Amino acid sequence: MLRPLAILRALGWFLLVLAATMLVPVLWGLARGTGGWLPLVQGAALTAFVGAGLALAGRYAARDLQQREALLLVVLVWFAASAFGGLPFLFSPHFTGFTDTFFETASGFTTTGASILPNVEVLDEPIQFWRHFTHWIGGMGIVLLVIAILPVVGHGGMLLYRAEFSGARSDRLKPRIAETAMALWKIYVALSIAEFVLLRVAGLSPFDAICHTFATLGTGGFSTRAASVGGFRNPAAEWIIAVFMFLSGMSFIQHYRLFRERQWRSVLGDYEIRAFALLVALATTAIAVSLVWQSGFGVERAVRGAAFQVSSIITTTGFASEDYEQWTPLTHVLLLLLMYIGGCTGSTAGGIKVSRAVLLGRVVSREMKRIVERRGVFAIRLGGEAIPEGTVQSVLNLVYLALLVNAVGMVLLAATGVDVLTSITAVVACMFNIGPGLGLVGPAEHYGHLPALAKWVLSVAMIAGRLEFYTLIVVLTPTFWRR
Amino acid sequence: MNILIAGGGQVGALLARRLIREGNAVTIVDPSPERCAELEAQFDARIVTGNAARVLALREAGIDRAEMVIAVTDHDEVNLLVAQIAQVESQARVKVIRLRTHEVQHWHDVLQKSGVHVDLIIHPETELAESIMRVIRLPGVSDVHEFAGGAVQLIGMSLEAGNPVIGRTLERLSADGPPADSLIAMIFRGPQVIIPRGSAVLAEGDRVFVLTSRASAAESMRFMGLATPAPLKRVFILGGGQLGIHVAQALEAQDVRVKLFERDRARAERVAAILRDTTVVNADGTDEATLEEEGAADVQAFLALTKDDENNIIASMLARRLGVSKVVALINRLNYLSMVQRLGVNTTVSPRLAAVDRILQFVRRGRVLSVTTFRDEEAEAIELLAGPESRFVGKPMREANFPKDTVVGALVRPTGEVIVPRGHTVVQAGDRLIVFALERMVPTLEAAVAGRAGKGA
Repeated sequence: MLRPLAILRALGWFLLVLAATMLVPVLWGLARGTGGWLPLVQGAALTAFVGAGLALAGRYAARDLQQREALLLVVLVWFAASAFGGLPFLFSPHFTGFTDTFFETASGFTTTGASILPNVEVLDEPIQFWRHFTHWIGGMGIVLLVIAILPVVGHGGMLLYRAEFSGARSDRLKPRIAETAMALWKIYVALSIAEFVLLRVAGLSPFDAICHTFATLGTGGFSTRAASVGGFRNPAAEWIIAVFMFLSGMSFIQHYRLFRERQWRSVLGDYEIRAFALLVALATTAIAVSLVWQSGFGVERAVRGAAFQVSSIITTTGFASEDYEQWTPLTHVLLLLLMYIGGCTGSTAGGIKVSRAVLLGRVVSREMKRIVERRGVFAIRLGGEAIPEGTVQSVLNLVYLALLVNAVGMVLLAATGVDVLTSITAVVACMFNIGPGLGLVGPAEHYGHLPALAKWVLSVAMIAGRLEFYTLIVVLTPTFWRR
Repeated sequence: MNILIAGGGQVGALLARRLIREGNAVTIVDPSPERCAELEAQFDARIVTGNAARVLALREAGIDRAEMVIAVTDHDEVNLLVAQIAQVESQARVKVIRLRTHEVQHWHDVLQKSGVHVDLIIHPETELAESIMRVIRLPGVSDVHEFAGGAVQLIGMSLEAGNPVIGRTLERLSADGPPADSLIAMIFRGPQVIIPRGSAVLAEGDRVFVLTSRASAAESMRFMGLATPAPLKRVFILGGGQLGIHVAQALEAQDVRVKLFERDRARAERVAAILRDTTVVNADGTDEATLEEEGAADVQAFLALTKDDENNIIASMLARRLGVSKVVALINRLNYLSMVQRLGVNTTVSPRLAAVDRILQFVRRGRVLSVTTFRDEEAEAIELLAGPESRFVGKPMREANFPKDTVVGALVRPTGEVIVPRGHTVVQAGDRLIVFALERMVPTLEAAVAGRAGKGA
């Protein structure tokens, strides 16, 4: 049986933490002496008020959540974060209406990076900071942040972690979930500081550097420039961001092993990291060759552009160093395929994840073997280890589910009158948390002109994708609500 | 010597019989009263009914006086506990345990680090896998035993219909110029063990043991009419037990294509998860149609290694009929062994005999470098080191007066030279002698070859 008070109490605490995070941009604004931080204070106050009310209402409720309650809580947290996190936008100029602010915030927290703003450069610094900050928080996970700092939930912590943190691989760094969460956040902060310093060295302003750091590490894709990273005309910065996008597309668990435990060999030998690196290398080469031959680019520009764009799309960040809408059709198809694959499990990236893509390949090759050896028994192996049949099945189901969401989303978008290319790429770009698609939502465009219904469909798709489909969709099934 | 054996199963009983006959005082601990009554009737030994993992039971069995402790119960845990108890409760100089877990190497480390000194850990599956790998490429060869660190090999082979050596005497054969350092050492014919002379005639169905230096092994086999083996490319294994997995892994490492049959679906899945390159098939390997369809006719070797002796025998005979030249069957029950070989199965392996051989070899180490028993221990091949005080040293063989029913098959000089001795060959101190003997002669022989100095070792 679901216990509403227990869920609301936990939700209240999450909102209180969310309110506290809204004060970070305020501090930035005060320190820099810029104005425009008032909407954030207003948003934080309202969020804290509601949060405190819920926490108070449920103060006697049980702490330990059961499986179903944890699932429902995670879904509620993500919708509440998108609604309340959008309050500062709602209280500031340039945003028109709740639909838009919900879309923008969901896009931020889910690290999609799709924006409804035609021109992002007009925003006040603190609001702009908040937009990027949502990427950074959402990348590692709102829930994971709270688990790391507050003992809000008891046994439920692991259930929440599973529901939010991506992965078919059940890597757990520490016996205690709070310690695991803390360890992951430390690596995250360390990488962020490294990128910030490097971007400053490359000549970006402190504000641009910190915003792009947030958007890179969370594999988000918001930019302070309308032309995205390309707006800086700074090749060094493009290379730095490309490398950090690549790193963010790798599992943070593996980063931990690499930097803290120094297990170089096991990490560099990991099948998923190898497959990921191979994919990036192959796609970069193919696109660079296409750009040199078919579009007549110089070699340096072609390689840099290809490396940047491939890293950006496969890690589902969605930055653009130039308007790749103008590139060759081959590059578009390759980038679209990379959108589906996404980064490694345990990273901040979206997509179906490299390990699952590898597993799909293995499933197909096993079927081939089974046709030849009809009595044969074959194990599916990843990195030499046999994967239990149950896991194989659940990965297949996840892929079906993703394709189903993809199909339903496209139908709904087309029903609102959006053209085919835009419908297809907008849904893929949102459900896999990439950001820009092609057509009317291309890298040089925005999502502001879409009908309200389309924006809501895409917002839900973003959250569904961020929670890897099961978590959100199971809450919508009758089985979930049956007692 | 005072010897305590924990576990009175087949291995315990076999060991007890051998050790008693060699003049040792044996105590056996076994938990089953019925089994104890049986042992009591068979052996001149003290039998203690009790769980060997109990300290008090072991005390009752006199563990404090035991000079050697051998733990061969059916349970690894009990065997490990016996070793641990013996470490503190006894002055035993030698501790031997049998483990069946595949983690045996890790247990070795654990025991060592925890200060429990165990001299020998026997893992029958490893021993069997090794002996299978020695013969798998040699059709017609039933077993290969190594002496003097591999310099000398004893090759057992069955004489099948059509072999040109059948019907000839050993004298005629040696006139045809066999390799100089080779010798027909034993012939098993039906229930008989023959230590042959020149007039002996080879017959169809004989199992002949040829002693040869390693260098001449291939030539000796050719001389004995065995076909040159086809390269090993495909192998069928029946049974996904520990042994099947072991052998499959060894074959995978040599790039041989292995197909493993396992009847139990869940077990098959687990095996498929362990083996990388082997094709695991969920089917009954004793079914002729299945074997044919899976391509049994194209394999060079067929290994029947299930838990069930009868299945292994049936499957092996099927495989022979389908034309597989090398067939190996795992036989657990010792009383099946001699019969199975007569049914046309080239090679049998038995975990219990393997364990007993290994333990006896170890127990007698010092004087005896290695020992191999044949035919449920009727005959033995022993490798001995000639001590300086031995009465055989310094004399030509014909004057040395070796005991009856023993044959010196080969001697290996300290330089590594392998000699098949003739009447005039002189034994030198430090030589390794490979001697064939009927079992009852063994104690006399050991003492005589080693000389007085070796006796106390």
